[in-house]
Amino acid sequence: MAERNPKCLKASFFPQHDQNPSEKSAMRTEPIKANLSPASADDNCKEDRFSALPDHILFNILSFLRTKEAASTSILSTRWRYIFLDLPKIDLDDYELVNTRRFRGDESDDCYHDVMGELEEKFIDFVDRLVMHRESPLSEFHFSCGCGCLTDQTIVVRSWLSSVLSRNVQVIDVRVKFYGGEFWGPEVFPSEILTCETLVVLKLDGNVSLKVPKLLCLPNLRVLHLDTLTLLGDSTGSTLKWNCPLLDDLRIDLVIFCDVGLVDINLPSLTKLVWASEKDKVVLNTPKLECLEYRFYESILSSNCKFKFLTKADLRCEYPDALPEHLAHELCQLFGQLCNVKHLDLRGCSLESLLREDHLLPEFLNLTHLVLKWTWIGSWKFLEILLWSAPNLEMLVFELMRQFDMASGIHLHCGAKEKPHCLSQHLREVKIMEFVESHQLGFEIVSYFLKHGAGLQKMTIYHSRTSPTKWSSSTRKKLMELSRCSRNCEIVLI
Amino acid sequence: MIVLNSSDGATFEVEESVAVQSQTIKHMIEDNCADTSIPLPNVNGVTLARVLEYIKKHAEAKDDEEGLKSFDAEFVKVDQASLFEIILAANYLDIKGLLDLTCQTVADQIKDLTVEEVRAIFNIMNDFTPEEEAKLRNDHAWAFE
Repeated sequence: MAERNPKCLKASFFPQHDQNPSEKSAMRTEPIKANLSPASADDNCKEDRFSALPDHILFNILSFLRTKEAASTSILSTRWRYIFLDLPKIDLDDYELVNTRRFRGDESDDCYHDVMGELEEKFIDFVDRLVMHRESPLSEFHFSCGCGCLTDQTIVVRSWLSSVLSRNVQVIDVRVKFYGGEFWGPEVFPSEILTCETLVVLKLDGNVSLKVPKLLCLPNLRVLHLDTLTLLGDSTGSTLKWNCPLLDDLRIDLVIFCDVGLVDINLPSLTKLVWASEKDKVVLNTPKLECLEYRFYESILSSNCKFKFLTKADLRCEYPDALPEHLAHELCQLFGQLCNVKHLDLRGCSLESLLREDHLLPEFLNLTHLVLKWTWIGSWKFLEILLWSAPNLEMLVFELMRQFDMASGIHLHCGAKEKPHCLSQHLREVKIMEFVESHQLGFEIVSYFLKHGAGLQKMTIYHSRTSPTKWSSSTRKKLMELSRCSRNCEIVLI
Repeated sequence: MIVLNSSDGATFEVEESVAVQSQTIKHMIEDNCADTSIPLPNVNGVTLARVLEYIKKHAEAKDDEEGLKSFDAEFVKVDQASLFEIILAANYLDIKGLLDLTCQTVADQIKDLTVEEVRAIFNIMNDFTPEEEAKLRNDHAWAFE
């Protein structure tokens, strides 16, 4: 039998000592990680300690390999034949389907399609065996179909998912990409996925659709990420409710809601929320929220509670022009609920419209880091109003060019007017981006902070990226010579 | 301090706070089976010494992520027989971190090898008939692409 292995392993067996370089590079692309010291002639001669390990340890070892590789251990010996079939974690990627050694041609080759067709058949066969005909429970199912393979096999994929759901699975992480197909994409995910009792982590990503029940009931779920999907409600447009008492991390990114009424996000344990989908009538009831990333366009979600534990809020407005009146008002309402936040990032928002209704503006007593990039500030007074409301501010980042109405006056040093408290107390770092040398406003603003920032340690000024030249020596001189309240303050020009 | 007895009669002293990284030892202490010393008939002296080295380091340098990473990398540079001894000991003593570390090490070693190479390195005897093996290769065809 050709397969019998040599009686004794000598040190010279290990490939890097033996083979000539050209042979070695054909076999693998990286050298063996030889953590094993070479076996001496007597040492491991007879014993196969690997196969002698109990099943659950073999599972542990194979769980660090992708499913495809783990499967190839089935022909090591009869002891290994069925091990991989009971592995509690399945990890498949159709990239492995595409990236095989056999395929050398390009797409125009006649046999390309035959080769791919054959491979696809083998792949489906393999997964069928692993998923459909198994008896042991499955704890994790990771499946990525990003290369568009299996576009014609949506029914097959759906059957795999149904089978997985019936095996007490805890983690489902599926990414699919299908080409062509119906408008909303095929219904690849069975709707039982949203009422599965055992799921702890659910991540679905794909240009496909999923029917939503009226109640999303996932009693053990902690993480839910939905990307790109279309959620199909029934045509009555009833409220979508959630019964996910343990849900901690929710992400709804570029999801389309079709025929879904009010979305009532009543999640008592939620600490992290990413919402980047266009949906009107969304109400948040998430009192424990700590981290919010919210990208909005034409509709603003509302909240039933002030976020007492919120530390980080990242708002991104994608509406191209000034927000219409009613939206601006709703945004102000939401903005007011963020008053306990420590880190605030307001990209694309307009400070001018947020602060117009300044009776709604709360005090941001915990705010230490404020980032205003691509934020329309309008007039200096709006920035000053915001600084007044954040007495404990430590770090401020904002941009000059295009963020200020340059025509508005530059009256920053009006007499003995009192300055915002944060300046004299906590503000230690300011970063000003998009500095334009030709406008006086920039110099006025820099001077303002330097003159009044008693605790300021560092002022970093970034030159405008669209300007052809860099810092002129006269500007450098002018900036460095501005009077500073805080003698230790470092000025850095980038 | 806890006293541990290996299978071959060696004794080791270790602080209780360190020893409880082993769930097995922890339960024995809780169940009051640890009056004088704890017998560990499934672990020999050499291996127990290595395991104690691991848990002592992980107790004292708990927050030093970088330091622990390089310690772990060096720790697993042992011969095959010793590695399997440590795996079995970590399993018996129920020390998850050590078990995962050693299992990952073995997985890394077989990762890019062919089946023949794996058999050779671990002395696995192929007891399939040629027909059986051919059938298996066909049944799970995609895994061997």
